[in-house]
Amino acid sequence: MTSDPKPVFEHLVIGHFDGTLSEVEERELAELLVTSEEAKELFASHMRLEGRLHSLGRDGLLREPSSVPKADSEAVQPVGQQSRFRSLRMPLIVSTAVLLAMLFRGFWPASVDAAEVLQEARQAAAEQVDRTYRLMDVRGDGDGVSIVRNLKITLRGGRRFVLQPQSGAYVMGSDGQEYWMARPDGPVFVTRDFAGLAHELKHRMPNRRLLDDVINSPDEPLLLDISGLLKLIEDRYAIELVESPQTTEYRLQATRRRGLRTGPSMITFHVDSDSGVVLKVSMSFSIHLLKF
Amino acid sequence: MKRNDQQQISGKIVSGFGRGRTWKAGDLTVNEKPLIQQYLQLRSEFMGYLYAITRDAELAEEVYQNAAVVVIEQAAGPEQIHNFRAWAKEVVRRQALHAIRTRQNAVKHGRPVAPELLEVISDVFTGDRTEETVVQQEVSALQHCLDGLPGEKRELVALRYERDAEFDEISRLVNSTPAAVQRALSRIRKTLHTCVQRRLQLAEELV
Repeated sequence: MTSDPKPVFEHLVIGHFDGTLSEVEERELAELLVTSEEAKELFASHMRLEGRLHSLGRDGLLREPSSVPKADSEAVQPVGQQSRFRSLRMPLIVSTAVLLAMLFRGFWPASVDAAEVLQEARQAAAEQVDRTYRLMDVRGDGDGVSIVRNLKITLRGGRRFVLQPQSGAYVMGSDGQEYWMARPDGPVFVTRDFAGLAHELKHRMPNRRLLDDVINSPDEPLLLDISGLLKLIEDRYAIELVESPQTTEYRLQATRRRGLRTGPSMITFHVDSDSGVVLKVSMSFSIHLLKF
Repeated sequence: MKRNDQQQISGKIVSGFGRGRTWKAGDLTVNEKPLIQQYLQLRSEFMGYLYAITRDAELAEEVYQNAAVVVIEQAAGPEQIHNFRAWAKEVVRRQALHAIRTRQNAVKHGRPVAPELLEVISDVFTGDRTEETVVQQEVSALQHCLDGLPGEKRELVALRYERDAEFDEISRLVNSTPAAVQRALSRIRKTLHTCVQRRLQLAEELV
């Protein structure tokens, strides 16, 4: 046989995933998978590709960032929301709680109910102001809780940011065009291609998955898109004001609606009652998230 | 160590997360991540196999969840796992074959996979020794390659994989024929696969 068998084999592999192979072709594919190491490798790599495409699709990450729908397109709006929110969730999926301490300006009515609180929070979050985030990933077990990730992220608009873990193991940032990263005893990596930076650093950088989040974010590092989160809550969560031990804050609790399987099971906002500043967001993740 | 609280998964009550153990993949000593976290990180690899033998995204997802329960139960136990990836593959394989046997009629995409092919694919899956670093590199490479797709092609991919849509459903959305959609998606997948492999090769040459 003089022709390259790869195209034929690839046709069989893709036909298999499409479910279009005849019984004869299925036998042919099985035969090849038994006899050819090259065929096995090729099939395995196609299988991984297929799995990734399904996973990315399930997480709403296959569309171009620019195609994230706007609010005037109700028919497809949930896709955009899902995409942005899930990217926030993914690195934290097995966390029992994630705490985001945030600072931004806002305004608050004197007397409010849960819906008003949410609405005002959305308006406040929409303001383009500098923000400093403290992100803690807290996990609990029988011996208590431990902080497994503790980062400070400063945002300055225009995609400018500086991100540094509490440990000081590294610092990374961007002026909106170039991205850089440095460790205390190492060189400074600079690139305009963030994905390239991530690739270069994959063996060197702790919290590697953070880079993926940044890369996949159309808006901000880590997708700390509070507006998107609040809109998501409005659409998919039952909200109520709950009593807070602090007289200086409102506490808004959002519980995922029955039948919905995506997102944290519960989200709690702590809001300063005078200034409207959202002080903290706590999101409880559980293994429920495994099933979407 | 394990969590005190209990969490509900697919109608079953199971104990929560256990700590992972130190284990080895080739020469790489991996950290003590919780087993379930390790399992989640292998999701795409497992889903690829599950879809290959079920051709049903819902069933594949269900099997993946059931295997997750096994992982969590294992995490709560005293036994050490020295090669989590290999162990988890076997769990996924067994769960998948069980599910297929009991849900033959649930296959969405045409007839079920022929038993002999199913067995061979399972062997490919469990026998795949591709290093985890390569698997991770493929993830980044695919993202690059997806970014390089023209908008309309990327839209086709999204339509196909976001909802596990059939070709005729997609064809109605894009005003085409099912056969044309299938051909287009076939070409796109080949393009993506080639692109990923090229990027990996390039990265290898640069090292």
